[in-house]
Order: sequence, then structure tokens, then C-alpha cells
Amino acid sequence: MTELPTMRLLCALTAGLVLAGCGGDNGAYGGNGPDGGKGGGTDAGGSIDCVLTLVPPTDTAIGQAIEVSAQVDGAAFGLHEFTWSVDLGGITQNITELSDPVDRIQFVPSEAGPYRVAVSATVGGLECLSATTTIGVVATGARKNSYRMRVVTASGAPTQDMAVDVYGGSDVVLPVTVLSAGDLVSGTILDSTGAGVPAYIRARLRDSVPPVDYETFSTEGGEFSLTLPDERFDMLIVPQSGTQPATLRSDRTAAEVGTILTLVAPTTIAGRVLDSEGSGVQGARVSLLVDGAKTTEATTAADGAFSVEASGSFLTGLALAPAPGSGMPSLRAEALSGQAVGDTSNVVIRYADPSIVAQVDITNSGGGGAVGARVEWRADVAAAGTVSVDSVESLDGTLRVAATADAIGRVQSNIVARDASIVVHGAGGSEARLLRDVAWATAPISALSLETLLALPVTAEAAGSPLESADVRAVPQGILAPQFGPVQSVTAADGSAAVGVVRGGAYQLQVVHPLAGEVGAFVADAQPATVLGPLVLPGTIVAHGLVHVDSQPAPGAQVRLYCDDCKGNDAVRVHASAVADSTGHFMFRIADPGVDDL
Amino acid sequence: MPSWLAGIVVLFVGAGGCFFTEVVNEAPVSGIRTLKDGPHFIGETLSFNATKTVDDVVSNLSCEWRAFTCQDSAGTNCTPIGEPEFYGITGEFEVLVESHETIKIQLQVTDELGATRLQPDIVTIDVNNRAPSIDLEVTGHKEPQTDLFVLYRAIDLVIAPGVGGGDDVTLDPDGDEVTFSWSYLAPPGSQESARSFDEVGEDGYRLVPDVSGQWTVTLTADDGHGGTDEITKTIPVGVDSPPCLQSLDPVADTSGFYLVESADGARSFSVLSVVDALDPFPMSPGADEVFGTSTFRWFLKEPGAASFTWIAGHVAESYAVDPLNYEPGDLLELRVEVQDRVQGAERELTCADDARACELNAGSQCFQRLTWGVQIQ
Repeated sequence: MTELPTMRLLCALTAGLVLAGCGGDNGAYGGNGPDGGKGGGTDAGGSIDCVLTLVPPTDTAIGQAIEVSAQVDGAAFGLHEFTWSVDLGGITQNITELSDPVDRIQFVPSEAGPYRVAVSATVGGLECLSATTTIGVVATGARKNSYRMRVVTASGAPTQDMAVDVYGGSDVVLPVTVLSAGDLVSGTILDSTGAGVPAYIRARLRDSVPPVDYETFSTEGGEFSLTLPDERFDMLIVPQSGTQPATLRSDRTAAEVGTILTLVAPTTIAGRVLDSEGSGVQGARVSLLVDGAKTTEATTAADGAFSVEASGSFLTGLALAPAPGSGMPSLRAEALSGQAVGDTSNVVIRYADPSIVAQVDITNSGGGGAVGARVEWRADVAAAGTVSVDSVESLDGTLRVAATADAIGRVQSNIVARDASIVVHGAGGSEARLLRDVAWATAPISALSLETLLALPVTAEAAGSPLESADVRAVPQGILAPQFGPVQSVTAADGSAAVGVVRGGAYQLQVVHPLAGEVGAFVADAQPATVLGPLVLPGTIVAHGLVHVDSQPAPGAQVRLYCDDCKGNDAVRVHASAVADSTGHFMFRIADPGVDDL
Repeated sequence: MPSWLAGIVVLFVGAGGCFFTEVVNEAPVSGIRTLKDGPHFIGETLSFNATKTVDDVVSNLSCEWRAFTCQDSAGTNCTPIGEPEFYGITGEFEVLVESHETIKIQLQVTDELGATRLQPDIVTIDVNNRAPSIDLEVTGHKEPQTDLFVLYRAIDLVIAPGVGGGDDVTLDPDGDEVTFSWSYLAPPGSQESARSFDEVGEDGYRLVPDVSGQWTVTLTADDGHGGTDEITKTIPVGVDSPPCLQSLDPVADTSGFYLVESADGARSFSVLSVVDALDPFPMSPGADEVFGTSTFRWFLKEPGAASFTWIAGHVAESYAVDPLNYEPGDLLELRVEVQDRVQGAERELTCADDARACELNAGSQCFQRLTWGVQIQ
């Protein structure tokens, strides 16, 4: 009895030593297959006397014995005693001890999934910092989907992309994602006189889709710093004053980004914006792309004249935004031929079409004037204008003219387009009308009536059964956006739902369920007979992962998965995302690639 | 000289003639020695042996030991423990103490000629009670900055063994069944109808406080044998602090405008993480059910507009600026504010509407509003 207090004191002291620098398990994740990671010490430090490290296997398969060993590091010495546990989804697995003391075990996975291995140990009576690892076992015949995993850290380490394969048939463990802390580079932006330039600075990772940008702002003295990975970049400098043109510096190393960059003295380029009759267009905002970099922006005078500052010699693009209410289309060109420009150049931008007066009387479905209805004339106008320096090049345009119906439901506006669609959104929100490609120059309309939104039927199923409680979201595309916002519904027990859409409109439909995953469909022309479904959701699996920056966990890191070989919008769509917890662990649900029938 | 031999000699000397004498075998004289001093407790093994023993003719003695449990210290209302046990004079008799009742030990010594004392030797042993020892484990959701338990959120109190107590089943060193009584003291202003203190399972209570301040919960344990223990826990409760925007992508740098290029399509401005006691963001799958998640309010200051417009219905963690909705050169400001669940009235930011950043307290680095500048190209 008299010894008991002393024993307690020793126990408390031991716990204190261990806890002093612990902060939690020494977590680690071993991925599926040969990329399986090795557990590493995390926030261990202080006066820990022994730390466990788990060494997971490099390859796994159902029915194949998996051997795991534990290593003890630290100053503690004496008798080693280990305690192991292995579970799959909370179900304890049988293990075989391979040594004495038991620093190695093996188990034989009977099914696919993430196996959690935990080990604790005492060395000479001193409790060590324990360790866990999760070992993925891939289903037999598992198919895989390939993704690019983009990790945006909260710690300042640069955003980085990783290739990752997700195997189907069961929950999976992704390989440990080890990011580079990057290198901090510092530079200075100076103008041609040597004065500092406050600017927006962007280093874009070459060939990244969607682009990976590293951005910062320089100070009044022009100083800036960025943390970059060891890659190559295209650098863009946009002075914040608006009086100096942007500058591009292509294919730079990280070290070359962080240097003194002296902007060349700008060249002034003059020009005019003219309508189809040759008269000047006032109030248009013009910015040219010279050598791919944006010039300063200018607004045209009454005679359509403008002048902008450029830092290059070849016209590679332009953007022209007409004054609001002018009825003219915006003109944009990203890839002009590169006509030479300079101090003596005269850049002429000319509209192709004359102005037309469009007047429409709008009635609601009850026959009354649709007071307050919002109207847009929308058109993608091919050959809407030209730009010329030494030679003439065609420009495409985008028309977007808005108006609101007056007290009798009438709207009137000038528009500069031969053909344009008209989109009307009733003030009450339940009625609308879309007329495509009205020939305003030759066969204009003078009246239209609103219609009640269509109830577009959608059915969803998963695993061969109707899917209840799935979110159905229809996002308007093209000329309906952004005047019409997304519409949503939820599937009933029979898997059906209906979303209110505009007849003739285009919609991107997305059906999402927390467990069954998501599926998309595109409706190009919604009509009363349009029925969507059954849309089959693929089912999902949970993917576990661990993010480190060098050897330290990366809490708060955002992980986004992009399709690896997709094009267009699919290439920039985020398929899954998660944020790492304090240990760097993250998990998300993602479409199950499934398994091959064997 | 042995006393019996001395008696014979006296008889011979006193009579002075020849006569027959018969030797009378006297009963042995004995006592009980308790081999370990008290106090004695349940679970202990008591050991006894016979003390100094005197017999008139022989020394080959037999000891009959009996043990009883008695309902009184006098040892009058007793029940035998097992069967009698027989040992030689040097043997030890052992009894395991299994209850709080008095132990009575009885020794009857008999010599080889069958002589035994009329009254056996008896000792009684009182069994001492040990009180239970308890502790209270208090768990709930705490504010990261203040370490206060969050108002209106459940606080669980679970009975745990105290120092020197038994295992976590009995909490009593003697293994006695322990009964508990709970009480609590609410800070001023608390309303009985607004707070709750309810039993959860067999070994816990759940407190849901309705006012901030120091709550105290007292737990008393009674083993039914006079042993008691009491523990009082003070539970500091405070209001749920507003959440803090922790990291954003891109960083909400107020010194300039981020570029959104038409060629790149829509660009997302995102909240990566939020710090909050109850509504952190993101919420890990499988997290505590009590956790909710932060929600966001987004505002846009359109090109040329004098003020921000709330983007109704948009509560996601990111907002995409689509350059196709704007003209090159347009300057926008995109603002995000974070909200958590609030008991009662909506939480209002204390900053002016035109403040680009709103900090909970000056210097706290707990931002509830941040703003990005955006330039369309």
C-alpha cells in the first residue's frame, strides 16, 4: 500500500513526458499499390523518448498476406512491447505475429477496402508515441479513373498538381501527397525610369489546365515576393495605375520570376472606333492586346478616337465594350494575325451592321401588358466588325442589350445586329419567353406573349432502383444566362422530379446524391415533350488521403480533383473536393469506377 | 518441572503412606492470534493461529477452526462460513473477507486424549468500509479562443473513477453498489424552462445551459455503508463566438485587383477554411453530429455601382466570376462574409458597410468579412 503513491507519481511523470510533445497519433497513409507511402513523424518533438514509425507494404491484393513492421526511434531503451490492431470499417481483423518482440505482423485481407493498422509500444516501460497507417487493398478487377489532383495549401506552399488514379469497387486509399514547400522568390518591378511600379503579378504554370496561377501585388516601391514550385512560368505584370500597359514574360524559371523586371517605355498607339456609316462611336472602352499583353484601356471621344499605351509591337487581340445602351455588340478577338503597331499607327475598328430600332409589345399569359418584364436581345454576331492597321481583319461580336417593359408592356431599343434572339423574363418569375434568331432587319417581331415555365420531367436511378432525395439542378446556358438563375428540385420516392425551365432554352442538368454520386445531362432545346431519364448515377466510394508539405501535415489544404483527359468545360469541372484536417487527412466521395465482370 | 509432576510429588509427601492415585487429563489452554493488525477490508485474507497452549499430558494437539459472519460486532447472530477446518497447533487458518459483516473466529483445541475446553476461544474482527471515489468527466464544445463551453450546446457529464477508487464499473474499492445523486447550480438569470439537465444513460447527465457564467454540477456517491464521496465541477459557459475566415483562395489582398481573363472562363473565389467552435468549415465526413457547417453570404459590387448587392441564395464556399457577364476593363469587388448557427437573433457585423475587411476585434485576426478586387480582361 505504501508503494502505491510512488507508482502513481511515476506513471504521471511518464505520461507527462509522452504527452509533452505528442499532439496525437503519428498518422500515416499507405496508398494502393506501389506508391504506398511510408509513415513519418508529424508534430512529434519536445521530450518524446520514443516514436513509432510504421512501414506499410509496397503492394497489396486480396488474399495476399500484408506484412507491416514498426520501427522505434528515440532515446528510450529496454524491453520492447508492442500492441497491434487491424480493422476494416471497424471490424477487427486477425493478425499473425511474426517476431518476438512483435515489431512485425501480417494479416490477410479477405476483401477490398482501407485497412487501418494501429500500433502502440512501450520501451523499457516508457510509452511511445503511437502510430497508425491505412493500407488500401484494391478490389479484384477494379477499373480506375485518372484524375489530376490540385492541392491549394493554406500554409503558403504553392499550389501543385498531382496525377492520381482512383480504383473502383471499394473505398480506396490514395497515395500520400507530398508537396514541395516551394521557393520564396522576390523581385522588383521598375518602370523605364527606374521607379517602382505597384502592379498585379501573375506567374502562370505553363500548360496547366485549368490554369495554376501564383499571384501577388507589388508594393509602391515595386517589391514583391512569391512562393513557387520548381517549374516554368509565364509571367504577367499589370501595373495598377492604369497608365502603363501590361507586360508578358514567357517561359521563366522560378528564379527568373524573382528578379528585377524593368518595363520598357510604352508606345502610344492611336485609332478610331467607327459605326457602319463611318461615324465615330463615342464612349466605347478599348483595350488592345499587343504582344499578347493588355495595353492601357481608353474610352473613345465623340469622334471615336482613342489612344492607348502599349509595351510591344504587334497587335494580337482587342476588346471593345460599347457604351451602355448603345445597342452595339462587344467586340473581342484573342488571336489576331499580329499586324505591326507603333507611334504612327492608326488602328481603325469598324462595326459592320447599321443600327435597327426594335420595338416589341409584350403580354403575359392572361393577355395583359407584361409590365416590368425584363428583356434582353442576345446574339453572337459573326463578322460584327473589322479591325485594320495595314490590313483588314474580321471581328466577331457579342450583343447583349437589356431593357425593361414599360407601363403597357412595351420595350424599344436600338440594336446593331442582323439577327438576334430575344429573351423575356416576366416580372413575376413564373413566365418567360425565348425567341431565337429573329431577323430584326428583314422580319422583325412586334409582339409576343409570355408562357408559363415548362415543368421538365427528370427521373434518376442508382443500382437499378429509383433514387429518392437526389438534388436536381438545371443551370441555364447560353443566352438564358445569367438573366435566369439555376433552378432546383429533389427527386421523390419514385425517382422523379420536375424543374421549371424556359421553352426553347438550353440547360446543363446535374443530378447529385450524397452516396450515389452525380450525373450530368445537357438539354439543348427544352420542349414540352422533353423527358430526361432515367439518369443513372454511378455510385460512389470514399477516397482517403494525406497531404504533407515536405514531411509535415498540411492542415487546411484544399484538394480538388479534375478529370485528367477531358476537354472543354469538363476539363475545368471539379469532380470532388475536400479540405485536409489538422493531421493532413482528407476524404471525399467520388464516382465509383466499378470493377470488371470476371 | 511440569505442574502435573509437582502435584503427584505433593500428594506423596502429604499422605505419607501408600495409596493409589489416578492422573486427571486436563483440557489444553489456548488462545487465538490474529496475524495481521487491522483495519481490515473486504477482499483481504485474514490469517490466524493458536497462541500459547498448555496441556497436562501431551502436546499433540488438534485445532478446530470455524469462521462466521455476524450481523453485530458482539458476534451473537452469526452464520458459518464454510466447514470447520482442522490443523495442528502450528497451523494457520485463513478466511477471505467478502462482506461488511463482522467476522467471528472460533478455535477449539483438543489434545490427543480428547480433552477440550468447554468454551472455545473466540475473536471478532470488524470489517472497515472504504468510501467510493468518483470523478466527473465534462465534455462539450468549446470556443477555440476562450476555452468556454458554448451556450445552448449540450455538455455531457459522465461519472468516472476518482483517485483511489475502484474500477470503472463499481467506483468503490469494496465493490459496493454505489448510488449517485446529482445537483447543479445555475448562474443568475437562468430560467428553468430554458435550461435542461437530464439523465443520459446510467452514468451521465447532459446539461444544456441557457445563460453564460459559471455553472456548477455536484455529484455525490453513497456506497450504502456509510461511505460517501462528492465532487463539484465548475463549468464556464460563454456565448458562441462568431466564426473566423481562416484561409481564402486567392488571398484577399486589398492592395489590388485580381485578373479574370475571358480566355480562361469563370474563375472561382473560395473560402478554404473557417475556424468556429460548432460550425467549422469544412466539416469532415463522419464528424460529430453536433457540428454544423459555416455558411457564407456573398456580395458583389458591380462595375460602376455605388454599393454591394447581396447575391441571394448563394451560400456555397466559393463564387465564380464569369468574365462573359462583363466587359474587359470592368472592375468588380467580391465580398464574402461567414456565418454560423446563431441562437436567437441574427448576428450582425459591427463593421461599416464599406469596410473591405471586418475583424471581430481590432487585432484579433478573426475576420468575418473579406473582399477581393477583380478586374475583367
